[in-house]
Amino acid sequence: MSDTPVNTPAPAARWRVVVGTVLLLGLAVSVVVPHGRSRGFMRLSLQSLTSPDPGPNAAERVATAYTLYAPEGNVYLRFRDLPADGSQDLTALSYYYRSCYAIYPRRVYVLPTPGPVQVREDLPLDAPIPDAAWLREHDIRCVLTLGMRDGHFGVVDQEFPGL
Amino acid sequence: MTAIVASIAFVVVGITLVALVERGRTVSGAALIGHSLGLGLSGMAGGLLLLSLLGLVPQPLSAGGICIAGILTLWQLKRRQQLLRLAAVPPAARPAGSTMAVGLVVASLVVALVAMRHGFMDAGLDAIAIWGLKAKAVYLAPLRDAPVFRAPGFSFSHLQYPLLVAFQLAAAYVWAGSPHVATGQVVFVLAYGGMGALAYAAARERLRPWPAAILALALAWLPAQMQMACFGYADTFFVLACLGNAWAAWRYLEHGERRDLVYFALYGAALALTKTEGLVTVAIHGTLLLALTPGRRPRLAVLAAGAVLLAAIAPVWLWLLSIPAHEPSFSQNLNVAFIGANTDRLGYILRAWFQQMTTWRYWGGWFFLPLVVAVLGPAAWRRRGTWWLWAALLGQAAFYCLVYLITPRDLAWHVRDSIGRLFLHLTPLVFLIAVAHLSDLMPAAAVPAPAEPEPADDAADAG
Repeated sequence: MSDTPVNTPAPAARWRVVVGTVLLLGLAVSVVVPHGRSRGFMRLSLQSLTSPDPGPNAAERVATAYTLYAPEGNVYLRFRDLPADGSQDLTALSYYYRSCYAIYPRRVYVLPTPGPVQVREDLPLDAPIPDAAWLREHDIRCVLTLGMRDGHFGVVDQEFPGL
Repeated sequence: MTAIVASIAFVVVGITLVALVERGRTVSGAALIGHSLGLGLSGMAGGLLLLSLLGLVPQPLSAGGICIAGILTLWQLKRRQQLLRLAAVPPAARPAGSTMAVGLVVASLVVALVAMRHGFMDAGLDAIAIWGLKAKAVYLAPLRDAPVFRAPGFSFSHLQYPLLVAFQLAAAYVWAGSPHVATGQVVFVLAYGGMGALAYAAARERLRPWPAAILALALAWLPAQMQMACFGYADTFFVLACLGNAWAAWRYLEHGERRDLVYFALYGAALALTKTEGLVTVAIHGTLLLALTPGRRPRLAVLAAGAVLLAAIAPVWLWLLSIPAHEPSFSQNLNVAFIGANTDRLGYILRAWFQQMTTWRYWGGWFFLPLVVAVLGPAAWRRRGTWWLWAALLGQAAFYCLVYLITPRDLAWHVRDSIGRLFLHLTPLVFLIAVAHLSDLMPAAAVPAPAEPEPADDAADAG
């Protein structure tokens, strides 16, 4: 690359440099200060640095549950009662997505006629368990029911149709 | 350990691509780091994506083969004395450069730490429902055989979404031997670090060292930027690719060097294969570049770059479009009748935009920066590049407004779910606009001459 300077600008007036510097420092402060006020992220950062290992995250906990309940075959997932604190949609969907991820390429079914799952309403509550022929045909080895127990959301019932 | 091996593999591919584009020229260290990470993530994932279309899953043989091809290419370039050279850092720039490097490394470590402990796959649904699931799927089977793309039960994963980030994760999994989540996190940290380095390179080209370092660090340290990098979303890489694409277009308009068109095409392909909105973003950037490029021959060069870009993304997009759609379509609402009947949405959308712009805890004063610098540095308006940057920013913002205007989903939910990420996509253009105008206030000592000036087109040519 040539070292010949072209388009060399005229020296900037001092006031311009001062204004630019003040502007940039103001910007930097406006970006850094919110980190201290951002309760969620800052707390997470500090916890990461200071706390002992918080253990497996939610995705890992779901994956561990499936190694216990359904090490092979597909799963039929049911939802019984969801948290009543306004988080029911998020809880159900995130558990379903994590279940699909955890056992992929095996499958998670929530209805006998599998369709698109986009919103929480696509995950029926207290869906009936299909008959034995359907379960066999779809290689369902475990029927898991999720719901609230002792104030926590998790597995409340499990059946193993093949056994 | 596997994360380090994966990082080295990405960087080897990236350096090879940069060396092929630069062909013996001198580049700054920041540009080399930024481009190596940006193009390395794109090149490795793009290679594995094309191999998957041919029926090969990502594995050490294919990923290693891409790396070995890169190393052989670098060796050939060295034999021909066409290997790129690193620019010496002037002593006056060292304190600012070192501060920038330390600030970026600290931020990257915070991102990595939070991602490992709390964030990745845990914070946002999309991280696992879209990117994580797709990455596992493409790692386990070639595209045509992966069940995720054919079963309606997986439609929550937005089956027609582009797949570059999924293949970046799969490229990292290759070295772990399994779809190991912790290894995949390295992809987002590399994209975040690459974005910071590329930003500094772009700013340093026109600004003095300290202003360049402060501005680039402000971009990297934006609370929303750091949080998103922890959460395993594709948007961090989108920001990096958008920055590379826009910087290349700006440089081409200012210097007319064809190598910038190559960068434009490479980052454009990466954008179009990262997210659906990336495809439209590239179309907006390309159309504006064509419109603002003076002269017939430079315009033909832009068209040629566009053709190469299209050829690169066409096989993947054709395959994606062959997947059955199970979601409500945006395009069905893209007509005058629907938009006319829903103009009342516009007030809600604009209020949401203003609210987001003024959400201090995510953006600080970032989105007011262009308005201030446009007034303080008016001389930049005399350059075509500045007009391109402003037009690209407004074009992309208008496109996102249109998306909300025609969304088939509940508007309030859609805005709430996505507006933060869409604003994140605009940050690189805001950054480059700030650089353009601030270069009037506090310019670098001199703007270096282009290495090989393109033949200038005369007025007759343009006519």
